[in-house]
Amino acid sequence: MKSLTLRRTVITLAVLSGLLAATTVGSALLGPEQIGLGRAVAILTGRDAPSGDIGDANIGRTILLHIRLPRIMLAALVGATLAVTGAVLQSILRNPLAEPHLIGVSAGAALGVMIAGLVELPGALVGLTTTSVLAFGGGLAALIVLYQLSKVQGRIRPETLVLAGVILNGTLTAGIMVLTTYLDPTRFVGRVVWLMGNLGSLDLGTLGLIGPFLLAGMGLLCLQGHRLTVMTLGPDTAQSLGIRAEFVTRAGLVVSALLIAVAVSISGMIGFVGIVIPHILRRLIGSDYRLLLPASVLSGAIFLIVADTVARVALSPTEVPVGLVTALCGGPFFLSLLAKRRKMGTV
Amino acid sequence: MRIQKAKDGRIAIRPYIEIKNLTVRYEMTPALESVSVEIVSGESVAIIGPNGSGKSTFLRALGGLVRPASGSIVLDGSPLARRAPRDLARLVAYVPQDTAVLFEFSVREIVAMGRSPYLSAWGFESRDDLAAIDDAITLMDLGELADRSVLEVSGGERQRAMIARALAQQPAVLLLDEPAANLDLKYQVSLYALLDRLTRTHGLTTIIVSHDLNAVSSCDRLIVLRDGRLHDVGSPSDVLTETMVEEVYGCRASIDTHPRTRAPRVTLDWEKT
Repeated sequence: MKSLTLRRTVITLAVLSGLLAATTVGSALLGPEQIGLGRAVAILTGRDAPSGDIGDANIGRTILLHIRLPRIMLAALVGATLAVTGAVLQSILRNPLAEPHLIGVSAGAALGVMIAGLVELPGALVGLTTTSVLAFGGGLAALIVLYQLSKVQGRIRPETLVLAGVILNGTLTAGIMVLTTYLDPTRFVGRVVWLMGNLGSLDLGTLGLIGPFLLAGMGLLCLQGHRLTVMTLGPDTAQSLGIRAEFVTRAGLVVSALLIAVAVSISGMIGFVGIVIPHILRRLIGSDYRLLLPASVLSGAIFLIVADTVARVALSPTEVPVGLVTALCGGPFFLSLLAKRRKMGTV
Repeated sequence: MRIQKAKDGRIAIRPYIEIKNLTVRYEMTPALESVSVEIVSGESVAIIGPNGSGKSTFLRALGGLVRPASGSIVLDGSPLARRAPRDLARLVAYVPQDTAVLFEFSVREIVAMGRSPYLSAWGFESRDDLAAIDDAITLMDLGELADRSVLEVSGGERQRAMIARALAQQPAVLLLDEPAANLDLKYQVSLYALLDRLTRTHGLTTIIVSHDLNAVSSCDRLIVLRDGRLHDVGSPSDVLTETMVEEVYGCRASIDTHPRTRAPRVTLDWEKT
C-alpha cells in the first residue's frame, strides 16, 4: 500500500460518502410498500404536502419520513459506531481479531439494559435515561473488570485481555439469558428480538438524543488517527514516539465502551460489524488509521443499512433481526480470517 | 561533545545524560538498583550483562518508558520525567527488541511513523517529514523494500525498518535493544558502521543493549550490569577482561587484541567438560 496522502484520503472518503448516499436512497425506496424515486423526491421537497385526507400519498409520506428514514439513520449511526470502535479496539488491544462483542462490552451493556427492564427503578418514568445509565454502567463495569484482570506489571496485556474478554462475554451472556426467564410473557418476545439485534424500535425523539452523542464520540475517535496508527506497534514504541500510550489506551477504551453501550441499548447485540468492516478496509485502503477511522464510519454505516434492508425485505412481510443477518455474513468471514491467519502462523 | 566553559575558564565536558541512583522495580521485584552513570553527547555506549541483569529496563528507563522508583535521569540539563512525551520523542528514539507488527503496513509506512512527534493531530507529513523519511530509508538501504508489506519481509528486514523509523525521528539519542539479533552478518557489520558514522557526523548518542561482546568492542564505552547493579563502566579495553566475563557471565573466555582493529577480541572457551 502506498503511503497515505491528503489527496487519497479526500478521494476515498468522497467515494464512500457517495456510496452511503446511494445506499440510503436505495434502502428508503425498498420495502413492502414500494416508493418510486420521483414520489420520494416529491415528498422530501414538500411538493407532496399532506392534503388532510388519508390518501395514498399520506401513507407513503408517513412510511418514508417516520419509519424508513429514521430507521436508516439509526442503522447508519449504529453501523458506523460498531465499525469505528472495532478498529479502535484492534489498535489499542493490539489484536486484529478484537471486536466490541468479543471483549464482553456489548454483553455488559445488554445486561445493564435487561436489569433496567426488570427492576422498575423509580427513575423508570424517564425511561430512556435509566436504560442508558445502566447500559453505560454495565459496559463500563465489564471494561473495568477486564482492565484489572488484564493488567500485568502495570500494563494491559492484549492476549490476556482478549482471553478474559471471551470468558467474560460468555458469563455475561449467561446472565442475560437467566434474566430473560424473569420477563413476563408479553415482553419476552420483544426483549429477545432486541437482544438478537433490531433497529426497528425507535422514535425520532430518541434518535435526536443519541445521534449527536454518537457523532461527537465518533468524531473524537477519528481525530486520533495517527495516535492509533502508532499504537498498533505497542505501548512502548508508541510512547517512545511521543504518544501518551497509557492515556490513549484508557481514553480509547472508555469512549469505545460508552459508544458501544449507547448502540447496544438502542439496537441490541449486533455482532461482526466491528471486525468485518475494518478488515475489508485494510485490504482496500491500507492500515493507516488517519483514513481507516473515517472510512470505517462511512463503511460501517453502509454495511448496516444494507444488512437492515435485507432484514426488512428478505422474508417480507416478517422481519429477520438484523443481528442475525450480520452474524450470518460475518461469522463465515471471521472463520476464513482465522484459517488464513493460522496458515500465516500469526493469530 | 557538549563543551562548556567552567567558571574558572577551563573547558569542561558537561554530561548529556546524567543518571543518578536509578532504581526501578516491577511490582515489588527490583530490576535496577541504584545505578549511576554519566553519558556524554556523541558517545556510543553499549550496555552488556547476562539475561535478567536489567539491561532492557535500563534502556527503557532512559527512554522514559518506565517510571523509576527512585533516583533521577537528567537529559540535556532537565529531568527526563518532566519532559512532555512529544518533546522527549524528538530527542530520544527507541527500538525495542520485539519488532512484531500485526497489521499490513508497508515498510515506508512503518518508517513514516517515526515522524509522529512532529505531526499535528490530524496532520499529514510535511515536505520536511517526507525528506526525513526518504533519508532514513536510504540510510538503512530499504529503497527496494519501501512499498512491500512489513508482514512479508524477513525478520532482519523488519528490524532495519524499525531502526529506519527511529532514525526518521531525527533524535539526539538513539536507544537500541539487541538491534543486531535478527540481522545477517552483512547488516550487523553495516549497522555498527552506520551507527559509528552517525555518531561522528551527526553527533548522535547511541546506547545499545547487546549480547555480542565482539560487536560492542567498537563502542566508546561499555556499561556492565549484573543483577540490576552497575558492575563496571569504562572503555572496552578496560572492561572486557577474562575476569569480568567469568564473574558476570559465569563462563570462561580468552581475550586478545584483534589484529586489524586493535579492539579487544573475545573468544569463548567451547571446550567440552
